[in-house]
Amino acid sequence: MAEKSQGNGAYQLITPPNLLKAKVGKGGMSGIDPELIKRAEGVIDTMGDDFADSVTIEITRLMQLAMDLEDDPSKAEKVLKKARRIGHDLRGQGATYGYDLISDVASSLYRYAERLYSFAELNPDVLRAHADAMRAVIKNQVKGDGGEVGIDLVKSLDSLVEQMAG
Amino acid sequence: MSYQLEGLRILIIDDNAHIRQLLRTILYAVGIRAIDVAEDGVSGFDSFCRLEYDLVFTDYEMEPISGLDLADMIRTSRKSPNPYVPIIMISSYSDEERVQGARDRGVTEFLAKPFTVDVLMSRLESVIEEPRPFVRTESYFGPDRRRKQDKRYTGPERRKADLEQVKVSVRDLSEQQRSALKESRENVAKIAGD
Repeated sequence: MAEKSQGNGAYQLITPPNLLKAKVGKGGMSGIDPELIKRAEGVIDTMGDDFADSVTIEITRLMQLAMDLEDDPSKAEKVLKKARRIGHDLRGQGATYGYDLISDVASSLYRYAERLYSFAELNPDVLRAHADAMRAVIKNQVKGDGGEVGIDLVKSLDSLVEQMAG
Repeated sequence: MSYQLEGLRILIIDDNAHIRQLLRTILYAVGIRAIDVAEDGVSGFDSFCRLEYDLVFTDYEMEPISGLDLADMIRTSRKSPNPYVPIIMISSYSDEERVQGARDRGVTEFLAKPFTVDVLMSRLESVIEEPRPFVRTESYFGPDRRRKQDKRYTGPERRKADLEQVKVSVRDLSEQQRSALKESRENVAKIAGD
């Protein structure tokens, strides 16, 4: 272990032994086998269908939240929390499975939930707009950014969020 | 020859079952066999204290304790069996402020969601090949940060203050808002092929 100090206060600099390298890189081995990386990517591709199923479940939840809000506006705080969570979770997964648009739409939903000034502003139609967009992407298995139509979709949702929670 | 990864023991802590499964699947596919998972920071830290882990993946936003608090516990708790373990934080929040905030709490690497297999592997290689020395000061213990500090937001907590004042009601839409809603519907219809 090495120790150093500075003029404005002592600090200790510690160099622990690289146990990870010692464990995985015996005999000068380095790098992750590209074949194994390819295999992992192949496995992720096969998980894409499961992901589409899980998005469908989240879309149903989001639609239900919109209905709950309409039926009882006093539930706005709970609805917002759950909608925010759906946005948070899906934006972090879509692109991993090639569904970049799901990540983008979910990001827009998340941003809406984050930017609302008050629960009173939570609007069920905005939740539905995001649910509808995700449903269209999954139903048509739109991968990547969806081209011009996909880019327009994301822009219009961004603009909607800007208007409703700007 | 490439790494021999089968001897590693890895702990994944994330409240999202899908992310836990995704990480486990990728790590298993590249040859890692000892992979444990926990769905919150409390049970995750409990697991961490029981076995010798070589690497920890943790989510950023969790309850009842966040990934940042968990990183703190791993680095500074007396119970922690390995305060030097590499911690890779997974998060949808990848803005510089949050990344820096994570580093300030002892996180080794940051993995932004959504991630690809390639990016995940590059983080893994980074903790193996480029371990940073640790720094101990009065207020910090963790990997050497050597990054510029950002100013933190110190403004009011808008929504909380607002909650106390505003009665919940669905408000009427302005002309511009109606127009934005209409436009998004038209674009959904286009992608749906309606």
